[in-house]
Order: sequence, then C-alpha cells, then structure tokens
Amino acid sequence: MKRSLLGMVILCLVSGCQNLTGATPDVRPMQLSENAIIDQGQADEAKEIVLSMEEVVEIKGVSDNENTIYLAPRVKHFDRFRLKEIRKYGYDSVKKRYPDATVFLSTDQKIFMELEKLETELKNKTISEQRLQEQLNKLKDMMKG
Amino acid sequence: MLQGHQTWEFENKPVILSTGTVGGPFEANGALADDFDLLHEDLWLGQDSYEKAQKVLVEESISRAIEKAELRKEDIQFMFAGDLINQITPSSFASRTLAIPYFGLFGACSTSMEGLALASFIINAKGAERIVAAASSHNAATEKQFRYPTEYGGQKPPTAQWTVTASGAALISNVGDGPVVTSATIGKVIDMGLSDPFNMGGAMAPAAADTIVSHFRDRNLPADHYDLVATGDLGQVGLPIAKELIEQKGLVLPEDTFQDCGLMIYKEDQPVFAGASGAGCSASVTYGHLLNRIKRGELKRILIIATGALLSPMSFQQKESIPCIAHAVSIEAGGGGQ
Amino acid sequence: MSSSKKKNVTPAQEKYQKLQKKHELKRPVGKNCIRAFLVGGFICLIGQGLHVFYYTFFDFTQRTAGDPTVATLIFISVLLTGFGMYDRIAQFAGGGTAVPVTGFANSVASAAIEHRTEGYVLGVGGNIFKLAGSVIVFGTVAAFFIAIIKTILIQWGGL
Repeated sequence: MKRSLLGMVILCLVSGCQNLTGATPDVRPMQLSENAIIDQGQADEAKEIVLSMEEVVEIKGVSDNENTIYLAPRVKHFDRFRLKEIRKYGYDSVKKRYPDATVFLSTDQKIFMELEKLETELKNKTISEQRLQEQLNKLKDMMKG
Repeated sequence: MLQGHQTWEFENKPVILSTGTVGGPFEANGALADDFDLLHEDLWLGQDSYEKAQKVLVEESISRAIEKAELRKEDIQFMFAGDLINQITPSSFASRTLAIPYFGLFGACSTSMEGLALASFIINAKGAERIVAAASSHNAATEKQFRYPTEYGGQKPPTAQWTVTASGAALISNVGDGPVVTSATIGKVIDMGLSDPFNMGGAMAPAAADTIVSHFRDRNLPADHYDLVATGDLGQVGLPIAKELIEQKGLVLPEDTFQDCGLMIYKEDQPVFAGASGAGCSASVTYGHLLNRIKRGELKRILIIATGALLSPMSFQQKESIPCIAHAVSIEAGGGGQ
Repeated sequence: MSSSKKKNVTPAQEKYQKLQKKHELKRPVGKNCIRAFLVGGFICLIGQGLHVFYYTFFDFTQRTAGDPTVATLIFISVLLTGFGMYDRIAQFAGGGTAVPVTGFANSVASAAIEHRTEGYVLGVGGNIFKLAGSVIVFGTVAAFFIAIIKTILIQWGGL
C-alpha cells in the first residue's frame, strides 16, 4: 500500500516534469491586422519577432493608436530562470523594428491572460475603441507596478 | 528504622488507608481508565489556566482520598505534595484551599514516592496519625514550563515522553486496613552527563538502577522478593537500560517483574512516543492501578521506584547536564508483612 | 544526541553514555525527510493554487498576487493552530510545516495562545515573539551585514 503510494507520487512527479519540459509546438500568433477596430499591424509583426526567439512558445499582443505595443510572451518552463534576460532581448528586438513605438513587454501570466481576452474581443469586434484604451491603460499600470 | 545506608524500614507498618486518583481526557482513553476515581473530559477542568486546572487535580485527588476513608480534612495532620510547575504553585495553592498543614516537595517526577516515604516515616515515628501524600502533573502546564507552547508545531523525537495529566494522593495512617508501606530507600542524585531534555528515560535510568540496587543491598533481599518492581517513568528507552545496569551489578530480577508505570498507563496506539512521564504518572498508577491489584490479591509485594530528572528549562539551555534522582518505596498487602 | 559532546566526562559517564546510545530510539531521519518533503510540497502546492486563483480572478498580477497568497496561508495556519491541529500535522511533517511561512505563523500564534492566561501586556505582548523573536533578530542582523557588504562593493568595488 505504502509502496504503491510512493510509486504513484514518483510517477506523478516524473510525468509532470515531462509535460513541462516536452517542447510544445509553437502556436501561431493570432494575426488580426486590419480586421480589428484599431490596426494591429504593428502588434502582429512584433509578435512574430518575439515568437522567433527560441525560448518563447506562445505570445499575445495588442497595439493601440498611440503607437504603443503591449506584448506578453509565454516562456519555456526551464528558460524561466533567465526571464529578465529574455524580456530584455525581446524588448530590444521589437524596439529595433519600431524605434518610435512605446513597447511594453511582460512575462506575467496575468498580462498574458488579459491580452488574450483583448485579442479575442478585437477579433470578434465586441470591444469599443474607448474600452480597449481603458483596458490597456489598466494593463500599463499593472506592468509598471 | 535505618537499615543499611539509605533505607528506612517501617516496623510500625503505616497503612495506606485510601487513595484518590484523578486524570484528564488522555488518561480516560488510556489502558488504566478503570483504575481512576475521577476522569475529566476537559483538559482545562473548567478553569481559565492550565496551572489552575492542575491545582484542581490536586485538590480533587486529596479530597477523594479523604472521603473514601470516611474522614474529614480536619482529621489529617499533614500533607506532602509536589509537582513540576515553578515554585510548585499547584500543590501549594491546593493546600491553601484544603487548609491542611503542608510540606511542599520538589523531586521532579520522583515527588510521588518522596512524599510517600516521608509521610510513612513520620507515621512510623508516631509524628502523626494521618498524613496525605500527593503528586501531580498536567500535560499542557508542564509542556509550557519545560518545552514549547502547547500548540507549537515542533517535531518531537521518539525518545520524548508524554507528561500525564493526573494527580494521585494516598492517605497514610497508623491504624486501619489496607496495603502497608514496609520500607523506603532514598536515592542519591546521579548525573551521567546526558543533556537531551527529550530523552529523560535515558538520563534517569542510572538513578533508578542505583536506588534499586541499594534497596536490595540495604534490606538484604533476594532478587525474587517482589512480585513487581515498577519504575516511575523510564519509558521504552530507560527501562531496558535500567535492567541492564542492575544486571551488571549482579541483581537479576525475575522475568516480567520489572516494569514501568509510564508504559502501563496508556494504550499502545496512543501517540505518547517512548511512554508517559510526570509526577502524576507514578502517583496515579501506583495509587490507582497497582494498589487495586494488591487489594485484589494479584500482587503481594511491590517496589515502586519513582524517578525524577532535576532539570529546569534554564539549566538545559545553559548546557548543563541532567542530574537525576530516584526514590523507592515498598508496599505489601495488608496483614502480610515479612 | 548532543549529550556526548561534553568535554568533562568521567569514564563511568562515558561508559554509560555508550550503553545509553545502544538503547536510544533513533530519529527516523529518512522517513522524516520524505514526510517533510511531501507535506512541505503540499503546502507549496496550496500556495501555488492560491496564487493562480488570485491572479486569475482578481486584479493581481503574478507579482502582486504573492501578498494575498502569503496572507491567506498565514491565516489558515493561525486558524489551525487555534483549533489545535497544527501541532499534530507538524509532528507528522517536521520540517515540512516548520519551514514554509506557515511555521512562522504557528510559532507566533502558539506563543500568543499559550501566554494569554498571563494577560495581554505581559503575557501575549511579552511572549508572542518567544520563538519567532530569534528569527526576526538574526534575520535583521544578517540583512544589515549583507546590505553593508553590498554598499561597500557598489561604492568602492565599482559593481
């Protein structure tokens, strides 16, 4: 009984780790471009740039009229030890492409979730320009704070 | 009277007229619940502090003993009592309530037999007609005093012992029926340099062994004289050590006659680590369970060795070793004698 | 355990201590480690669950969700201490419950409960950090020295 329990625990640990380490296939970032209320061309391209990084497996991002790009990449589990470095590299490469834009890049799960919501809403056109701006301002505060 | 180096023989046969034993909830679930006169469901005993609860334990056990002998407290000349709390307040406060002339004793867990020995000596020397001797301990109060707060999550090693919540009192008289106190051996303080407060059994075993060997030597007894030789609270660690030590000295007690009160009081499935401890342990087991067995005729002659570790919370923090003591008292079935 | 490290032991004491060692019940270190690992890990799992819960359903980011998570764990630990459960779990888990923040909460709460009978000022107030006090003292002292070292390195080491 005890031994089988221990075996199960070990199995759980091992299989759990496998799931985390196993490479998830790169998810194509959502391309919104002109379909959205606000042109997402900038965001789309920034997403491609960051996603091309080896450590990044998934990315969400939105841009607004004020030339600001919000990005939230999801980083491979074991590369999370180098989060700071990855953030800096991602930020620099987007900045190189859009030197005039204000770029916000966060690896926070919360930002990822919020941006995902916004992306879907933009795609379905269920969000007004004003509300998008409000939401993005809120995100900006979160990313800073 | 004095026999050998450190033993008294009581030729006037002080009688244990009656006893009173009171226990707490953990003891109520123990193996000897039937031998207690009174068991409490509540560790607080309805008081607002554990120290007050212990005071009530002492009061109740003494009143029980007096009631059972159909006496009043005015009939009792002296009271010997002690416990493990700072300045033995539970015993002293109980004697304030009972208003019996009082000797406060401290011998850690050996207080029970220290009190019984002194009371028997005074009765034997006609210094009094009736004396009550009591010893008590309270699990939570003792933990608070010597270890961590009760609710603190510190892991205890398997050598630790569980302090019993109990009080035992014996009423000793110069006349009457009942088991007779025949002799007492006063032990000397022995320190083998152990300093782990979570291993009392190991620290106290040499003191117990020394007192047992002295007792048999002073009274010049054969090894099979007693039906039962019971130590106070050596537990699983101390008992085999004490056995080995006395056998090294050439005293081989018959199989199964060497036991420990700390291993009798609880059931095996109770989480008490290496056994029970506390002044109330030897007192309640002796005055309850063992005397009942004498009265039922299962035992004729017993020797109780109450062992005490004379440490304070400060002394072990100051890295002092633990000096230990043990006192032995022999009790025989009434009328039997030698 | 620490008994035989004394310098002034007589031969008789030494001989006895050897005998004592033979009979002493050993701490089941291996078993304790596994239990501590599992229970400690389980507490961290609960913590992680709370963390995810807070940043998913409330306006916390991953970074700021740490505060309510710790507060919740402390609250649970104090409750369990008050109900008299924590010490039982701890006897099973050992370091598993002592090392996480719950252990610290338990040491403070248990001392406060224990000394309530001596009044609020001298009892609770005076004894609440009886066990946790040394953690705070040495934590602060260590932080102080680390800060000095860091300052020196930055100022003069040019880091």
